[in-house]
Amino acid sequence: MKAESINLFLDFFNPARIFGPIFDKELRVSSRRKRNYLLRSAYIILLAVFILFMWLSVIGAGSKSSAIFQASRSSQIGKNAIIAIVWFQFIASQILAIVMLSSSISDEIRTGTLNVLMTTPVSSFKIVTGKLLSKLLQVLLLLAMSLPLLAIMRVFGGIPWNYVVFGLFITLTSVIFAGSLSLFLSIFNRYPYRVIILIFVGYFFIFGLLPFLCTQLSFSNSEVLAIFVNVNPFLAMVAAAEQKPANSINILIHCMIMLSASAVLLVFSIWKVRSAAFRDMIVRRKNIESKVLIKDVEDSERKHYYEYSDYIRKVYGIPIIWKERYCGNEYSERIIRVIGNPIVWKENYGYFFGKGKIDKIVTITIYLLCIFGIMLLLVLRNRLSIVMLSFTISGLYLILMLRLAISIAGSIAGEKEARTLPILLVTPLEDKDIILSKVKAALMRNISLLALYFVLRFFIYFSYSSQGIIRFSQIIYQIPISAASIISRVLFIVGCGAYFGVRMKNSMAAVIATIGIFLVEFILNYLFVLIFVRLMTPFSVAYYNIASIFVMTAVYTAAGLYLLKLSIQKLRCNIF
Amino acid sequence: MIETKHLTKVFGNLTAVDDLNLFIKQGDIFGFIGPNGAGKTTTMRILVTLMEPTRGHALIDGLDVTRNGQKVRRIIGYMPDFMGVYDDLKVFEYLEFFAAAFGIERSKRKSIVEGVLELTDLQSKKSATVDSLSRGMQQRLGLARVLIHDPKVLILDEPASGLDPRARIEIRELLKELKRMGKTIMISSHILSELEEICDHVGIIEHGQLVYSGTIEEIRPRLGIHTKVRVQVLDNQEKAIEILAALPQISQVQLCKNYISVTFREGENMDGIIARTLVNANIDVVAIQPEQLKLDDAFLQLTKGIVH
Repeated sequence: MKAESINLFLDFFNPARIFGPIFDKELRVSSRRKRNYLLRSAYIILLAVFILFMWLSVIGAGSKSSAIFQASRSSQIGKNAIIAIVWFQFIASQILAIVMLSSSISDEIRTGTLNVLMTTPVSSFKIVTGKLLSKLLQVLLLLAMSLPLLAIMRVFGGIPWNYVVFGLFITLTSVIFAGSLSLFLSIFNRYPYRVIILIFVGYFFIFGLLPFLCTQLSFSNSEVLAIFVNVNPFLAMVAAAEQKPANSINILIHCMIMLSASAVLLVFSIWKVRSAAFRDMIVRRKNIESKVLIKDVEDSERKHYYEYSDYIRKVYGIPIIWKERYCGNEYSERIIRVIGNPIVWKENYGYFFGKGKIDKIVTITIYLLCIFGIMLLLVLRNRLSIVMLSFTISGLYLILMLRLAISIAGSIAGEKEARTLPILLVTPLEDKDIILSKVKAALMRNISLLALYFVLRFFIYFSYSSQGIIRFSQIIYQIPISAASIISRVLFIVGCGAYFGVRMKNSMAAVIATIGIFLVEFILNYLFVLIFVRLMTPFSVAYYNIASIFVMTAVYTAAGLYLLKLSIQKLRCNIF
Repeated sequence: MIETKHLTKVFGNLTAVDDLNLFIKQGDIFGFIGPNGAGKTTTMRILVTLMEPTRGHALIDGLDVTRNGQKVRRIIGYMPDFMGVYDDLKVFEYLEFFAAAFGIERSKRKSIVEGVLELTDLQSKKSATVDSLSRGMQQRLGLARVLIHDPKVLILDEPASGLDPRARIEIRELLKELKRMGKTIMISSHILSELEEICDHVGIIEHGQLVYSGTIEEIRPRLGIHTKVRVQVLDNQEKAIEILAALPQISQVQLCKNYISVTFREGENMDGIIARTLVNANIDVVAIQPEQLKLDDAFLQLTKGIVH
C-alpha cells in the first residue's frame, strides 16, 4: 500500500506526464549524444580557465611580495573568482540556451516530424514546453555543476551571499527568456544560425547599444540606468554587484519582467507552432500546385482557383510590393546567369539576388546605427566619445566574427545537410577550389562589415592621437600591426569554420563548434596578454602589446592556414 | 567501359563490398540489383570517386578511379540515391551552375542547358525554383544535370525510387533514349520489373559479393530453373491433368485459377507434345503459353535477403 502510494505520488509528479512525450524523448536522445558530454567537459574547462585568469590577475600583481601579503589577498581572490563564476555562468548559459533551442522547432519542421506530431493527441503546449524544458534542464545541470565551486570560493570571503543569490536568479530568468526567444524564433526561421545571429545582434543593440546611447544622451545617467535595470539582464547583473538596497527591488522586478516576457513568448509559440506545421504542409503543396497554376491555366481558371483554393495568398500592405514579392521573385522568368567561379556565384546568389534579405537588413541596420549613433553624439555632446567608439567596434567585431563563422561553417556543412556535396564532389572542381571559393564568398558577404570595422578601428587611433593619448608617429606602426592582427583573426575564424564545416555532419553543430572556438579565442587572447605581462617586466606596456600582438598574429595565422589545409584534405572523408 | 577487379571496401568490421569483379561493355545498360545493404551504393560511390576502395581496382574507360579521379569525373555522370538540390536556384540556373562547375565555356552553356532541358522535357519549368518541382520532376532534373557535360558513362543509383508509375515510365523512356545515344549506363533499382525492360545485363549482389552477372535470359539455366508452360483448356481440366501427369517429360502438373501449370523436367521443352497429346484425347486447347522467368523470381532465388 505504501509502495503504491509512493508510486502514485511519483507518477503524479513525473515530468514526462506533465510535459508530455516530447520532454521524455528529448531527454532520452540527449543522453545518447556525445556532444552533450563534450559540452559539459568544455564548460568545466572554460570555467576553470576563467577562474585561473581571475586568480592570476589578483595574485600575479603581488607575485614578488611576501606570503603574508598574498594571504591577505585571499578575500580579493574569492571576490574576483565568484564574480568570474557568476558572470561566466550568466553569459555561457544564455549562449547555450540560445544555441540549443535555435533549431528546436525548425528541425521538426525540416524533418517533417512536426506534421506527424500534430496528428497525435500531443498538444502544442506539451510540444513547446517539452522542447524548452528538456533543453533548459541541460543548461541548469551545467549551472548546478558550478554551485560547489561557488560555495568553496565563498569561504575566501569578500562577497556577500545576496550577490550570489541575485546573480543566480538573474541568470535563471535570463536563460529562460533567451531560451523562449530562441524557441519562438525557430518557429519562423528555417536555419538555426539565423536565429542565433538575430538574437545576438538583437541583444547587442537592445541590451548594449540602446542603453549606452541613452545614458550618453541623457543628463542623468543614474535615472536612465535605473529604468534599464528592470528590463536589461546585463545591467541587472551590474546592479547586483553594487549591493545597494534599492537595487534589490529593481532586480526582483527585473526577474518578474523577464519571466513575464518569457511567458508571453511561450504563449505566442504555443499559438504559432500548429500554424507553422500546417504552413509547412501548405507551402510544400502550394509550391507544386501554384507553379501549375501560374504556368498552365487560363486567367479565368486562375481566378477561380484564387477564389476557392485553400492556398490563397492574401494581399498584405501595398499591392505593388506584394506583387513584386510574390509574383516578382517566385514566378518571374528572370534567370541570373552564372558569372565567374560557380561556387562563389552560387554562395552569393541568395545574398545578392534573392533570399538573403535578412542579412542585408542586418548589415544596413548596423551601418546606419553605428554612423547615426556617432553623428548624434558628435552633434548633441559636441565631442566624440572614445569609449563609445570602442564599445561600437567591440560589438562590430563580435557580429563580424559570428557572421563569418556562421557563413563558412554553415555553407560547407549545409551542403551535407542538403545532400548536394556528393554531386559537387563528382564535378572536376578541385577540393581546394571548393573550400577556397566558399571562403571567398563568405568574405565577400562580410566585406562591408569588415571595412566598417577597419575604418572605426583606425578612427580610434586618430582620436587617441588628437586627445594626446598616443603620439601621431605611433599611429604609423599601430595601423599595419592592427590590420595584420585583424586579418589573422579573420583567417583563424575562417579556418575554424571551414574545418568544422567539413568535419561535422550538420550546419548547427559546425556553427556551434566554430562559435565555441571563437569564445575560447576571446579568453585565450586575455591569457596571452597576461602571460606576456608576466614574462616581459622590463619593457614598457606599449612593447608588451606589440610583442603579444605579433605572437598572436603569427599563432592565429598559422592555426588558420593549418585548419584550412586540414579542411581541404578532409573534405571527402565525411560526406555521407 | 566499367570494370572492377577484386574490389573490396571495408568499414570497421563490416565488409560492404567483397572481392567484386564486374565488367560492363560500352553502350550497355547494366542493372545492379541487390537487397538493402548489399553494397550497391558503396560500389557506385567508389566508381564515382566519392570513396576509395580498401583493396582492388575500379576502372572507367581504362582509367583507375583512385589515381585518375579528375579525369574520371569528366567522363561520368552520377545521380545519387537521394538527390540534393540547391533549393534557392531556378532550374536553368541550377543546370548552368553545374555546367560552369564542369568547366563548360559561358558562351556554350545556354545552348547546352536548353538542350538537356529539351531532352528531359523540362523546358516549361526552366524558370521554376528547384524546390517547387515534384519528385518526378526533380529526378528528371537530376538526369538533366548528369547529362550537362555529355558524359560517356552514367551511374544512376535508384533513379526511379519514390516515383509514381507515370514518372517511372517517363524515366524509363528517357533511359532508352540515352542508350540510343550510346551512353553506358549502370543503374541500380529496387523495382526489378523496370530493369527487366531496359537492361542488357544485370548483376545481382548480396553481402558485397556478386552472386550473378549476365543477361536475364541466361539466368534460367544458371539457376537450374525448369521451363514452365501455362495450358488453358476449354473443359475437362481434370482429364487434361491426368493425361499430362502421365507424360514422362513432365515433372509436375498443377491446377491454378483458370489454367494448368506444367513444369518440364530439366532440359525438356515440348509444347508440341502437349498440344498433340491433348488434341488426340479430344480436349480442346485454348492456349499454351510459356511462363516467363521474372527478374523478381531470380532475385528471390539468388538472394537470401539478409541485410548486413
